[in-house]
Amino acid sequence: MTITPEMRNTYLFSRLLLTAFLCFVFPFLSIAQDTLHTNDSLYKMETADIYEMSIEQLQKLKAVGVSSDLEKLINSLIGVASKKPLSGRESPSIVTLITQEEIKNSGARDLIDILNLVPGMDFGVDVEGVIGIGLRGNWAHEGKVLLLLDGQEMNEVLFGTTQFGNHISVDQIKRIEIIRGPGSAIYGGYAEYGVINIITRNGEDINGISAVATYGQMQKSFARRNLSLSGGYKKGELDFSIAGSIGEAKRSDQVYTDVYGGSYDMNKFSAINPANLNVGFKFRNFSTRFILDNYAVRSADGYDAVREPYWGKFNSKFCEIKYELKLGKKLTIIPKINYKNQIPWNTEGDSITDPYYKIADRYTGNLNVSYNYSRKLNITIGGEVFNDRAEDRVEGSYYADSAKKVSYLNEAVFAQALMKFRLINIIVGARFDNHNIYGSSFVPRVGLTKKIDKFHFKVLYSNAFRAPTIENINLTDSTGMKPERTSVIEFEAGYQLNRKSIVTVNLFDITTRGTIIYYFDNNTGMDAYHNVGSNGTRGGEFEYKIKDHWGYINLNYSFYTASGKGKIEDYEVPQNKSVLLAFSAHKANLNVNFNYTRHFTINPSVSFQSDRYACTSIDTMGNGIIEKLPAVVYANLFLRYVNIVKGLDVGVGVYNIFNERVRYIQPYNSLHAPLPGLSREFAIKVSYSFGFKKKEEGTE
Amino acid sequence: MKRKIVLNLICFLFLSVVLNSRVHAQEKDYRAYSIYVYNFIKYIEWPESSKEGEFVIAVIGDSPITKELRALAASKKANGQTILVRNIVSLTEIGNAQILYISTGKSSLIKDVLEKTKNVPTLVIAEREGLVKKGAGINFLTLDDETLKFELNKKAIEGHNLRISQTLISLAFVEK
Repeated sequence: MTITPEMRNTYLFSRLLLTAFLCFVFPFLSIAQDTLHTNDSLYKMETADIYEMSIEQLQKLKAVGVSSDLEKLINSLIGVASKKPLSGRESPSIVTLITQEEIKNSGARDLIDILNLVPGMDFGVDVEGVIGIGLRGNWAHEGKVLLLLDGQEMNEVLFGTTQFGNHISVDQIKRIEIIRGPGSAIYGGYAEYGVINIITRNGEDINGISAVATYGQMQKSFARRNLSLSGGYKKGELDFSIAGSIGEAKRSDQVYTDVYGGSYDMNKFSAINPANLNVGFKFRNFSTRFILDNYAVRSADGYDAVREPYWGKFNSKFCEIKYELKLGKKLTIIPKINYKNQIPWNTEGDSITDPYYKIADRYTGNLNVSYNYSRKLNITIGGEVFNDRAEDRVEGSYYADSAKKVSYLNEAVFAQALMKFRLINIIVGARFDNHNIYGSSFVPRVGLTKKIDKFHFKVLYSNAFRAPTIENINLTDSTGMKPERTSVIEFEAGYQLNRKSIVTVNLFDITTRGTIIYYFDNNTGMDAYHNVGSNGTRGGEFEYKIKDHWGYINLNYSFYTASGKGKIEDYEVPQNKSVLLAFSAHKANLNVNFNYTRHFTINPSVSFQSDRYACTSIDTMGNGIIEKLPAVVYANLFLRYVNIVKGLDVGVGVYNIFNERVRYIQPYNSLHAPLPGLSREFAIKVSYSFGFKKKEEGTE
Repeated sequence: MKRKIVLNLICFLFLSVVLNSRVHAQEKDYRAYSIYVYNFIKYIEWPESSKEGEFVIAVIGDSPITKELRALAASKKANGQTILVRNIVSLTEIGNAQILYISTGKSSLIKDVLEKTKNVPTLVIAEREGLVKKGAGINFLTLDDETLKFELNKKAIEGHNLRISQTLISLAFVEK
């Protein structure tokens, strides 16, 4: 009998589900462990008379007796979706929280591994070997998803992009808060479709020195060699941390074949090498941060046809100074100054392609005022001004009007009212931006949320925008450049089935108008951007979480369709109007952690992606041919042993167990063939911590 | 293939839910509530007429608070008075209770409770948030981080001829 790929996938997927199911059943057969009572520390006072506790102790009493591990997770406060932190179930956005514990257990190699397990998130190739992000079926790479690292906007200023794949070290991350919907009403023009807020460990979290070394081996070559070092210290009101990482990796060990039939061996020319330094200092209400982020991508795929191998470099520096001024219990004023200096997409050029060397700076001043009028009403208002500057350093290359330098100014004001009532929370907010070139954007939002015992719901309506970037403005055609505008309706309902599990379902409807699209202008022979038509998706996401002392299971499924939405030729699939290029309409992820012993954990994960469509070749007229690529199942297994000796943890994993073809597809039809990704990889991760007050694993 | 995968997922979810359904939801820590009740007694002064005999706490509705208040009564006194906890089913049983505790399930009785305790030195404590707006003296509430707090209606309490210390007011969300 011939075993087809479909049969194999079904078999493997079924077996993995069964494995996860058994992992789930086992704990019910085991002896339950005692869970720490929330108020236990207060009840175990030396006085023995709990009724005579002090006023300070009285104020710490919790209303609930025991918080299960799941309840601690789902009720933890999240600040990314509202200026004032709220529990994830009441936060006025569709949010995902990823903890340090989950990142460590999964053995995630980079952010792609982590974000691939988030409902609705996916990745595609842009150009020059760079991988970008997609969300809910939409290509979001160019300035549509804001990536924050300790509050710093990582998106480069020239195009708004973020670059994924062995970039930011996951070993230093404390938690990731994600908005899987619009965030412009708070964050402005990079947050049209989503926000990823990465928070690294501060001095108190590190409290010593730690090192993590990772080595991965693919079939033909090494996959990665990374080293991460962190040091942190907290004494009194002073908190200091310094973390650095350096490494080298390969995008793939496969062969890339372009749409014209040319090819190159990525085992030789697909390096992705990061170097990052992150320094944080906080004393009382004053804090400052400095980040140096260099990322180099070696490739030969260019824009479409294979060319001579070359390096693309993304070098950035970020600096922030912040002061939190508290005037009484109700009023907090936070002035903040940010500076970032970037040299993105820096290439030397060759006989075919011009060099690209532009320096961009952004100077930002931000003032945020938060006033707790009462327990039930919080008002936040603020303003932000930023100045973008860019200089073209290539001889003979200019911005419009033969200028070597450009400078733009953007002014913004924002406001938010959060009203909490017994039956409902109401969040009303808006942000108004005015740019000296492309004009104004006004993005209001309103959200209704509430957790009522085991049930919670969210009804959200948000406007958002994508701010044209420096290069969008520079390369605009004669039609002029305007902000891209999006409106999103979302509904979420969740139900806590019991102490250990919760199910959440959401529906979304995204409509984008005046979409900013790149094209090659045959008349001028130049790259160009313009606003065209409208597009969007609608769909739903489902999540099921179980968490207990034995571990956890996260299962999610996401679906989108482009049916009934405007169509943009670059994104559409001629033979299937309900999907868009590159992104699967159906995606399911399963992420399991099983604490076999207190020190040893078993962590399988599976990701299923339905059929996708990609441009793989051209016809006789030179037009791209869109081909259907089959569904894929990626499976990983990571085994982790903590405290082999005090402070020493070792993890080994196998990724892409079934050696599925990983292919990053270009989500817009610009004749870039799918870019191969990592083949099966065996990796080992060794971490050592010195001087820590080591917490027991599992209670992180 | 898709159908098989969907079936697998449905089976997985169904069995998971069934197996987990034995577990109860997160419960309130009524001992914490009883500690607060004791502090209300400490920081509120009843008129002389209420300082004789037993200090009666009446609980209306079937609530686990009764057990915790009885534990309190077994170990503590209310400014020298013996504490007696009575679980009542009808408002006619209020009698001369110094405290009437309205459990969540009986919140709808607030109007009748106020009518029954009008001009009587009884502190009305409600478990459900928001009842101070309807005339209860105190109601409990839970903050986002699950911290137990209370709202206090100064006017309503003083209307029952009770005096509140500033210490208690400073701990409360005061209804204006």
